[in-house]
Amino acid sequence: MAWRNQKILFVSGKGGVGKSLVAAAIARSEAKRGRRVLLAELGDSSYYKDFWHLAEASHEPIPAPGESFDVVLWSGESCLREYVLHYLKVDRLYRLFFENKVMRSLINVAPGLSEIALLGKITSGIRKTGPPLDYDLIVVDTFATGHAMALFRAPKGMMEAIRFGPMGHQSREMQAVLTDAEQTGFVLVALLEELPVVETLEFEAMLKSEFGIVPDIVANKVMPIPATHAELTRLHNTAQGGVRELSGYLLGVEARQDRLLGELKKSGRKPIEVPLIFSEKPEVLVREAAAALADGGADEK
Amino acid sequence: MKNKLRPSPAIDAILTSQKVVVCAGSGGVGKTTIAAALGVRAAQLGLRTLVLTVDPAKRLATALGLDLSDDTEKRVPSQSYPGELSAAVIDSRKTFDHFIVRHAKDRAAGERILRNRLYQQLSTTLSGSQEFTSLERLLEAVESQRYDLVILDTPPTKHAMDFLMAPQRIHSLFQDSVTKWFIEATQPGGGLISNLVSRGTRTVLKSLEVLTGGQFIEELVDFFAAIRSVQTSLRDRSIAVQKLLSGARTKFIVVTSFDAAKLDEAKYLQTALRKMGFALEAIVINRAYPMWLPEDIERERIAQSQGPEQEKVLLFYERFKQFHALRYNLYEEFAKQMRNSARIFRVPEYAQDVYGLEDLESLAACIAEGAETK
Repeated sequence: MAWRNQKILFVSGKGGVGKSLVAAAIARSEAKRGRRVLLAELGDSSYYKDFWHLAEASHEPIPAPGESFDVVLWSGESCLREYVLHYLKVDRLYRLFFENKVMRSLINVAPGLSEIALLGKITSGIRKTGPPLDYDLIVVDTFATGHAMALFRAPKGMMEAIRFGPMGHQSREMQAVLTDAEQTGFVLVALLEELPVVETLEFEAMLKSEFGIVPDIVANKVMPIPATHAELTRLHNTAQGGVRELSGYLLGVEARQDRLLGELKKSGRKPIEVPLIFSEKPEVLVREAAAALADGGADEK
Repeated sequence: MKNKLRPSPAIDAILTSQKVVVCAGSGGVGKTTIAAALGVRAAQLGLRTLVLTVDPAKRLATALGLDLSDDTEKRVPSQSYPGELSAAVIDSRKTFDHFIVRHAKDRAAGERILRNRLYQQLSTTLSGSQEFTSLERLLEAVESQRYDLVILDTPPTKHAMDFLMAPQRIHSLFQDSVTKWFIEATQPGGGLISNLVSRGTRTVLKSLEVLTGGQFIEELVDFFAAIRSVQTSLRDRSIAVQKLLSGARTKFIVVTSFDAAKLDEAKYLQTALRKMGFALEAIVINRAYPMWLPEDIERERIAQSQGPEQEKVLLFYERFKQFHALRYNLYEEFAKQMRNSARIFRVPEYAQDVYGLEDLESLAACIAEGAETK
């Protein structure tokens, strides 16, 4: 699927729905189109480090094994550090900042500060500030719903709290990038289970009402139903034992999935389906999920 | 309860001998449902039980008689257990506000904090604030002495470890020395000694002002000045929570699900719990196998043919079984490594969501039966 040639794609969703895998699959499919892609995780610890058995996940991009894109881990602190260093340009001051106990708690407490630092880094290429980032697309494996909402709300909150000075100015710039659909896209990942679907619809409504953003929705781990509804029904009525049980189970799953896909469609967009992939191998998972995303995008057009 | 409860020494011993059971684990593993099912089991065993949930699914909330906008403890309706099951949803913001009002030195001080814009954001978005409030709520419930057992469902975090670090984090964040420094460093003409001491930190503040603007600093100073009035209480409560969690009658249950990444995290969490001196009692692997996976489907294929659709379904069955076997290997390795650390319970995957108390009862029975026999 061509994600409309945007430069930043935020991938979020409820915890445990497979955001990271979907983000990696998008990175792969976009890199296949010849774009220079960076897959960025946010936070203090890395999912991809274990996933790809990386020696180290760090603030500087490294190639993702077996893929043609790079991967990076950005934390609020590492981004703030870079930002401060870039602007103060004085190493002594910068050390004073980060080796100071009080400053450390300040960074932890100050609401929105690390969110602003992260968004500052992600949008730095478009805003043409800070050290250059040589990529056509940054796919951001964002936080889970609650924290992701706080992340997206941070510039607006900061703009309102602080109207003057560099922080106010930069927050306005970030807000402009976030709400520019030409430059920035949002992907919400759900499972076809009650809680993730409800959370996705809430997130989607929030993006629409507060930012005017219409996100794409991915339904992940969709159980592939091997036969048609009519066939399964017939089998369920005529077969015995295990086959009857199995077809009954599949009918149940089909009904639940259809119902929840219907719920997701209320967002006004057709969810892109990624099937449950019968493997635990990273390369197989990313490859097949990327293929499914490409197919899903095709029949949307 | 029409059927007689089948005893399960493995799970029942955990529930009846504790005052607090904490269900830990990362997001999306079904922690809340497992916590609720354990609550049902405890009530069946005759305990006055409270389940504190964080973010229940709508159906689960309905099953427990919970209204998501009301955070009070309520008796779960239409139950007939020897004990009594109550439940509550934790509202992070309300708990934090309540805490401030209760511990501020007077009403004006309390209101000053509640009005501060930074506080308003902090009480819900600060990393660790949700964890802090659920632990505060746990402590209040235990102190009320209304319950024999309190089961805590922990907030969804990317990493379950965040939950354990929260009390210390909040505590150290508002350490008196930090707050004091901040207020003194920003007070104009704060005496010769404080001027000398804080010259370095003044430079830091000055730079921060350049980066963020003066308004930001003002808000911060106001916040720190206000939060000072509840400092001692924050510290005391953090210590009390720590004591409760590491006490002899608190046990941790790690809930995880059946894939490589989640099992790895459970392993990591198990080590971390040990290191921090918390008692890990059991690991519940949720959705460990599909309920329907019939073992003898092969023979039936030969016995009776139902045409091409049966072939399609059987092909699916083959693939699914292979996938399951693959994952089962991961599980066996996990179980081997955990053998000496905790009991493992496996819970099957249900095709349906939880609809009512009866579903929780059968899930509880499943957990009880899913005990690995060694």
